[in-house]
Amino acid sequence: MRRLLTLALACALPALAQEAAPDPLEAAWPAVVKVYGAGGFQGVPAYGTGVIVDARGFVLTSWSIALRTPSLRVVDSEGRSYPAEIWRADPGLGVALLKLKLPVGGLGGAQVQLEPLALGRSEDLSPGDTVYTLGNPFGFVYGAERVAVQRGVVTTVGAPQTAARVEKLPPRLKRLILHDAPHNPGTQGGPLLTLDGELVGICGRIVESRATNTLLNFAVPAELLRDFVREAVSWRSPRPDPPRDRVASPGPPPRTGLRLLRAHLVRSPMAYVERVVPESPAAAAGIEPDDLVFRFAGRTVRSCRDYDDVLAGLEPGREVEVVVKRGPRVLTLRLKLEAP
Amino acid sequence: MTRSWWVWALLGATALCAQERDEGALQRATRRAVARVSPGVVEIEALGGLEEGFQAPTNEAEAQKGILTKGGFKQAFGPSTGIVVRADGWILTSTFFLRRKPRHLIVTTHDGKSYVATLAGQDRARALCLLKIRAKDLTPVSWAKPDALAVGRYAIAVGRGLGHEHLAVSRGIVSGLNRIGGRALQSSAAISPMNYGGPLISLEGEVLGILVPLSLKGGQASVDIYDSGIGFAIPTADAQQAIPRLSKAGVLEPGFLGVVPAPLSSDGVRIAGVSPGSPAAEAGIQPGDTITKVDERVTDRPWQLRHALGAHYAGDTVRLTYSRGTTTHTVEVTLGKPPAAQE
Repeated sequence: MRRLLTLALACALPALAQEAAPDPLEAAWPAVVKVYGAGGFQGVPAYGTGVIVDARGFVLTSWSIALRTPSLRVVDSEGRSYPAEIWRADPGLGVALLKLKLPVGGLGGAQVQLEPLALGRSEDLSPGDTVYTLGNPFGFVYGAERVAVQRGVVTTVGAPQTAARVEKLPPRLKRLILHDAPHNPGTQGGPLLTLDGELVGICGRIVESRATNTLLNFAVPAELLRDFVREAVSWRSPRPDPPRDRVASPGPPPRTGLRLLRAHLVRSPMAYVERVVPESPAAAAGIEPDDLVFRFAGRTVRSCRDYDDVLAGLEPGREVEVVVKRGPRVLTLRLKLEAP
Repeated sequence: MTRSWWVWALLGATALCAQERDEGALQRATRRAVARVSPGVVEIEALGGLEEGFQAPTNEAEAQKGILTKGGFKQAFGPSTGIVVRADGWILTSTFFLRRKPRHLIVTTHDGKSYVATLAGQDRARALCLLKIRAKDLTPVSWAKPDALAVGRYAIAVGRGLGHEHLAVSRGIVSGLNRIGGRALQSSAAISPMNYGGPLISLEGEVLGILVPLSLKGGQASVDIYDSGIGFAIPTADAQQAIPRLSKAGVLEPGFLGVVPAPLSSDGVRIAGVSPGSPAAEAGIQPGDTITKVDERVTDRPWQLRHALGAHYAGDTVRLTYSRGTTTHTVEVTLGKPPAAQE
């Protein structure tokens, strides 16, 4: 009797488990594709991953120079291989939209039914939330073989790159998702999924934080991708050339009236105030000589060089917060930047 | 009887499902835990200073990177993390940022308020240090009870290495206890300068330990073990014990006895050598003696001796029980500083 019941329980267990955890990957599998570009040079892998986001054959992937080839190919979850072209590229955001050349049927109808995955909401993510990545690490998954799944948690969501000084990030990526799932070359372009299988991001390349000497895995959040996709799918023809980011010629930085104590050392010294120009914004803000500026407009200032860098990126007319150390005290002051 | 067995089995199975399979519950618990600890996790900015002997950057590219290297150790200049241990401004953290001998320490709490911090004390055995800021009404972390610490349980590493506005979170498990001379616990969460000095918390949001830059052999951790799935934390019980001593003692050094154990000792640690002038030599320990106890802790094997001594600092007095020939002796020994730490 007891044995029978044990058996019954053993059978019931997996059922219970299934009920408790709906498979977050189920809807994603048919939409995940393997992307094959050109190259494999300078540490840029020729292979990557992508997500079908529109049944007409649009695939979202991570931007890479390796995509720029006439022999670009995409292999879907059934193992079908399609030629593809770049439909819209945005290195500044770190993504590209590809268009598959779908085979046309005898009567002009579509031959294949693609099952896209819609972009979800990344706005609700919190640090600690479980995420999955689907990708083709080292390009060792072929044809109809399913790509590799990794699980981790969201490390942070937002705009931490200033503090962490992250290298090689797409330059216009103002918000990003960092996560701790294992990441290898080839995972870039693959989906970042939540527990509910919602597509909340597109995985990027591995980047390095100079502030911590650690490697970071980031994803471009879905909230930044919705417009990018919506606009592009209505185009009649591809625009594979990325928009030229208008580089404004750097003019002189705004005027603060702060004179820092500068010494010509190998490392730039801390931002101690040597002099405050009378009737300048700094004087109005209440900054005094010998104050140590360590935060300016929300960014940490470790050195005079940091101060110069921050200031160069600011517009005159803006009021910014200046945090200084004066003796044992910390003061938060407000400074209105003036035209140079 | 049979029925009660059943009820338990069923309850157990349900619990198993809930714990192992219900990812949703895990995610909710993680969010709650992070939210609970977050007000007690602060950012520490270390400004200025360089340790003497570090190579200056050899070129502009290195200078730009802000990385100074010496002997494979890469210093980082990003923010560090600390935890509030008392509402009136006591912050516990790791010694990671002290490596660059900073001139000024600034603590920024979760609500964005900054304070000048002074270094109250440091524990060189455990890579911990205690800071003081002039603040009131901070939110201290909650400490986990000792029984919350068990191998295989979930553990979440929390840091402010991305700056005070952002938490850096990574989840793993407790992988081992009594590592590095019995001083540290091991976790599989991603542990690096992103969270050194921050808490390793349970799913209840209580602090299991303080994340420290210790490496496998006890020295300073370096890039090779960052985020490797092997990271260390000083368990809560030890960290709590260290706090009052740190607030008074200034610098705590590891305790040094000065004996070289014979490698294959059992039933007591046979001493192969004694450092001249060491506390062991002063106490009359000789090669050939067999140490069987440190205080009440039995030391059958060398690792047990290491653990027993690892719990103590320089200046602590321990009672050694040792046998010489057929007689047993006990002697009180005041542990010294390791030779490297002596001036």
